[in-house]
Amino acid sequence: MHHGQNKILQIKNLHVEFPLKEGTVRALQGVDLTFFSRETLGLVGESGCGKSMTARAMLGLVPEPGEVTQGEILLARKDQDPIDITKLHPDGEVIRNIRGADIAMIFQEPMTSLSPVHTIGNQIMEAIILHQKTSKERAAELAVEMLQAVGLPDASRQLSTYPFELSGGMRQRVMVAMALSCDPKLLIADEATTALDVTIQAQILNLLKDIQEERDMSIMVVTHNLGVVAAVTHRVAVMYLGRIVEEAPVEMIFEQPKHPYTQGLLASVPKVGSKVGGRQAGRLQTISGDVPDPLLQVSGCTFHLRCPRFMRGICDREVPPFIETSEDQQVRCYLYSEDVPEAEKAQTAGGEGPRG
Amino acid sequence: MWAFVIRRLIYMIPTVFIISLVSFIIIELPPGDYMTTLMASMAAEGGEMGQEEIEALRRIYGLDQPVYVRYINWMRNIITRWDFGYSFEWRAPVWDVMGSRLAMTVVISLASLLFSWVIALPTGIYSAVRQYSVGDYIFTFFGFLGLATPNFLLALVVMFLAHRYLGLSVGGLFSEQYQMAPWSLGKVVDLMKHIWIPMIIVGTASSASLLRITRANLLDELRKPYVETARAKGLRMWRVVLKYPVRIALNPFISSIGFVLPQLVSGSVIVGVVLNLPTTGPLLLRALQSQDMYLAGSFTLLLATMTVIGVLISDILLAWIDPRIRYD
Ligand SMILES: Nc1ncnc2c1ncn2[C@@H]1O[C@H](COP(=O)(O)OP(=O)(O)O)[C@@H](O)[C@H]1O
Ligand code: SF4
Ligand SMILES: [Mg+2]
Repeated sequence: MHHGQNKILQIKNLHVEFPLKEGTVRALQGVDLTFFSRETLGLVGESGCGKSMTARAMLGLVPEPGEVTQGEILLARKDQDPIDITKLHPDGEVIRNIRGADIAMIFQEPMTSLSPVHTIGNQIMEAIILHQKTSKERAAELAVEMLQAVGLPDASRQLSTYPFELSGGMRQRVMVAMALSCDPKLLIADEATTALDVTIQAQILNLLKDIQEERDMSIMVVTHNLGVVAAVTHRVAVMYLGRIVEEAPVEMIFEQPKHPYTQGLLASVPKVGSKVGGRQAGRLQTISGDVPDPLLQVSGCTFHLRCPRFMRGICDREVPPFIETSEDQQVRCYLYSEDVPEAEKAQTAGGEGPRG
Repeated sequence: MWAFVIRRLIYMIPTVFIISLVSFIIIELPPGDYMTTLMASMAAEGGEMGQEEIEALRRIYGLDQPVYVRYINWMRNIITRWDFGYSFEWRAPVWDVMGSRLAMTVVISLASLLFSWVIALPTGIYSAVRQYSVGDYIFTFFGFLGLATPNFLLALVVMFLAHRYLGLSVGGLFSEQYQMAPWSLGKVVDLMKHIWIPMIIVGTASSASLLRITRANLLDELRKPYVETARAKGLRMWRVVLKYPVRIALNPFISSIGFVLPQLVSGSVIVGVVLNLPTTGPLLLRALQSQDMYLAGSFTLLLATMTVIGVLISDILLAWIDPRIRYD
């Protein structure tokens, strides 16, 4: 698989913990993800499952008092060994040179993610000057080019406008321009369209798609909206409580989801890809129970408290390993394990799961 | 931006007009006029004044005119001749009595403003960026101490310490040999030697409150997503903090320009008395006590006008650093 594509970044067994007075919050409990050039990966899951934390960790921006306790994030480099981002000083020169230049990020709130008291031009040129060491004039030219590329009308005049003078969609275009300004290898869009209304959302998604095709870039689209996933991604990773539970090409996720959680996610969407799904898509009405308290340590498969196919004595013991159900599809679920007797799997099939 | 400045300047005109009316009402408020006071004190000393003499004096002071004529005359003299009227108690034109004191008030105000900025800005930033660090706790402790200590008490303590341990002559703004001397380099140096005590005393409370405000504002700003955006671009943490959140957390500093004068005049009259400062506070207090009404009214007028100007300056600066204000 992934013929002719380069591996850009690999996350292995990433753990992030927040030691709080009330106890330890295990935000990430072993995340594995691989990013390839010219591929868009969708990261989906309910709110609070650790999508943003994964994105932050990739930029070395885990907020205090959180810390990476295990695992590595390996960024490929030209003619050198990969570098482990988790080992870098969070304000050191190495990671600062990676941020914005190798890995760039678009955030959810286009209003609050831009400084209200600096012009658009100032905020875009800042990154260009920092990473490309150009003159101010050249940076302004590049900024105008970027703004034109993301479809901002009257781009050269926009340099001197302030964020509050623009609409939400235009602001998000500015964020995209800013993220692209230093030609990153990996672009992370964390809920980048969630705050926008449906038509604007579609425009921004199309923009990302075009960019994908034009540049040799890898994109990670973080969302809880399956409509977005269907629209732009090639591959999908489904996340639950700090772990990836299933990963597969987008068609396989929609056509033959393997993990009971993925199946629940899809069942909660009226019709995949339809506009009706809108912003509500991904609300898990059909999955019973709530996401457990983040302070609670769930043994075994973290989904077992809500799983309709829970197998007592199997699912609540050890964390299920990744099982390859086909060449391209991986799933963390004992239902697909050859070590679990078929009788056990059949017994619970379609039955009621335990109430957590 | 210019439209904003001009609009604010135009708004100022009615404000200053109302201030002048209020100041004049203060002058007119007590029953009788200065002649009544004068006759009473003459009588107490056993002297008598002839009716003609009284009328003559009334004419000289314009006291025989209707109220609105006196207001117009007062304003006209101020505008055309910078003549604020006559201080009965000091037997001198009001401006001669209060001009230098007003200047000293402004100097001390600016000095203590500067002092509170220099103290509050770095400590406030440090406290917010390193929240719950040892340094934060120390600054917080002194911040609350500074807020809780009454100024006059602080004045007494600082004077005692400066006299006892530094052997400084305290009180006043000048040494004896410069008290009456005309301005010279020596006098300026002498002023510098004396001004730091009132500067610390007057500036401590506002330093403390500015420190608290800066810390709180900055903590709010540091949590905003635009900080993460800036860091995600690859900027150094301190550069991010100084360029973005501090810029916004700066607003209260600029607002403080507008409030420093009334604070100094109203809040530190007692400090002025304790420290024996040639500022307006003590003089205003005396003028009010002795019904020296032109002096009292003129003080009110000038201080209020200067406050309005202070607020204007701070508003213009705020609009200059925060585009959201000037565009609305
Ligand atoms: N500052 C923090 N302190 C403690 N826990 C946090 C903090 N930030 C995030 N978390 C924990 O990390 C988990 C993942 O959060 P996040 O990555 O923002 O979720 P998502 O983006 O998927 O909605 C949350 O459940 C939360 O409990
Ligand atoms: S491992 Fe067990 S509990 Fe977890 S998803 Fe599979 S069947 Fe459900
Ligand atoms: Mg999130």
